[in-house]
Amino acid sequence: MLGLRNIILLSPPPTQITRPSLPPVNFAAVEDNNTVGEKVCRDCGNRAKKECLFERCRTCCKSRGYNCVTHVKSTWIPSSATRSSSSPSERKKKLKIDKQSSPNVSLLPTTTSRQERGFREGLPGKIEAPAVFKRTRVTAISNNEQAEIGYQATVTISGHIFKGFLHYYGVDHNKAFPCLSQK
Amino acid sequence: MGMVGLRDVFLVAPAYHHQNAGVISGSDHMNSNAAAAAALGVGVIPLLTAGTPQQNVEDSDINFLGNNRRWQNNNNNHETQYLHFKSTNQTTVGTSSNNSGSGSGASGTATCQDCGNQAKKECKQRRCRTCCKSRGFDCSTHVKSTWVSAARRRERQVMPTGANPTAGSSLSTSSGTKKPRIVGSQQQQQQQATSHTSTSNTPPQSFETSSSRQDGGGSREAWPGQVRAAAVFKCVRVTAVEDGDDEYAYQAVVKIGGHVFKGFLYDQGLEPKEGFPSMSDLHLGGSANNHNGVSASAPILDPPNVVYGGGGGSGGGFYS
Repeated sequence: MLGLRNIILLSPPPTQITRPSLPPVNFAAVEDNNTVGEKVCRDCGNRAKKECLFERCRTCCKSRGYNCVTHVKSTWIPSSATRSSSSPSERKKKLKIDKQSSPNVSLLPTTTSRQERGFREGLPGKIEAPAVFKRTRVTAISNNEQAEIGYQATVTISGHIFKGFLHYYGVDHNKAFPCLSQK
Repeated sequence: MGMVGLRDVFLVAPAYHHQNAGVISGSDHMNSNAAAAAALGVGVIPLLTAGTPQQNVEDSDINFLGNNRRWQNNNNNHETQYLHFKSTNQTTVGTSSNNSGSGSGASGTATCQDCGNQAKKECKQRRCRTCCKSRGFDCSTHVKSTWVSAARRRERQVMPTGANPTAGSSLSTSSGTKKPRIVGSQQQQQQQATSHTSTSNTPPQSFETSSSRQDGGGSREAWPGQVRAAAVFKCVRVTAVEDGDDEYAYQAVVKIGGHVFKGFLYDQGLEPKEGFPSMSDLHLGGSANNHNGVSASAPILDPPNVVYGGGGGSGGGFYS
């Protein structure tokens, strides 16, 4: 027990020496074989690529609607398909988001996309603003499911552009919301 | 030989998951885990399980123990939800190999419909934690808990590994082939993925349907391709996994074509000058002066709702 504790106490100083420039000292997994300083996704904690400017994994880049240069649409195969190697035809499954949902506004990815403190305090809690809703098609991983219709919304609030996907929730039985398409 | 290695990697992850859930316990599984770990260089999992009772003094381990307790509580909920899932959806028959061996556990793994990660069988939406959060589903399985991120888990695993010379030698032997270790690390990451989104309003009960599929192709064509209209956006706080700064996003609930769409709008950065018309700038300028952001027309969402409230608010927030 004492030996284990001594060994544990000796390991933190090398990581601090390895990363002197990062303000939040993260004791990430440092291995001699791997490259030092692996990134983790800021939303879900999964491992993110170093080239991603938004510091997020593929899933969170997709869900946030970022036009990430690194996580471009490709012939990516989910890990469950590679795990089930019994049938090779299942490797054709792909994560599909229709390319027609790309916005007209070409936003340049910025490394400092975080919101500053003064900007956050000035954000209104509730706002009614004109927005653009574009229909998009979200395809599930397995090809058995039909494509699902969603809407991509883009709005400008306090000089910032907010963008995201609105997913289908069901029929409005109680008529709680006014219909936007009838306006 | 490589295929055998891949299969051994497959066997490790569900056994680890079951051990955390408290379903499978025995020396045979420990031996099999140790053998697979020695073969592939993933010698961290048994060390973590073995080292847990010795490190009760540290705060992070206490969180881990709390996480174990929470999982045990969730395990009871999972069983009832699984029965409920079977009773509601009889058309989509899921695999009924929950408590069987690790081999069939790997074959019967439910995958997330959005990203392909490994999803829990008890989740009605058949999605992982990350996609349930991003889609705004009020999933009772993926409830906010004292979850520890994969990076911190790997951080704890590496400390005894770096000190252990035998584990170092196994890592050096596995350095020749990168694919098995990457797959192993991905399996560890898939089971621990979440994003803490604290929204003040939960969707009403009438929208929580186990089968959220859309109608046939005919009604889908009735939905317009593009709509320019004013909608109400509610500010929500999105918390990062680490203790970094929070970020604010906007939640929108709109009705298009008689159906309700809901989602989160994230900050993309400053607006380009040539991007949007000046009408929105003038409107936003007027709204920015008013700190409450109450518009002239009657708002769709109720004003007395707490904007920055925690998760699990009242269900009637969307009714006016």
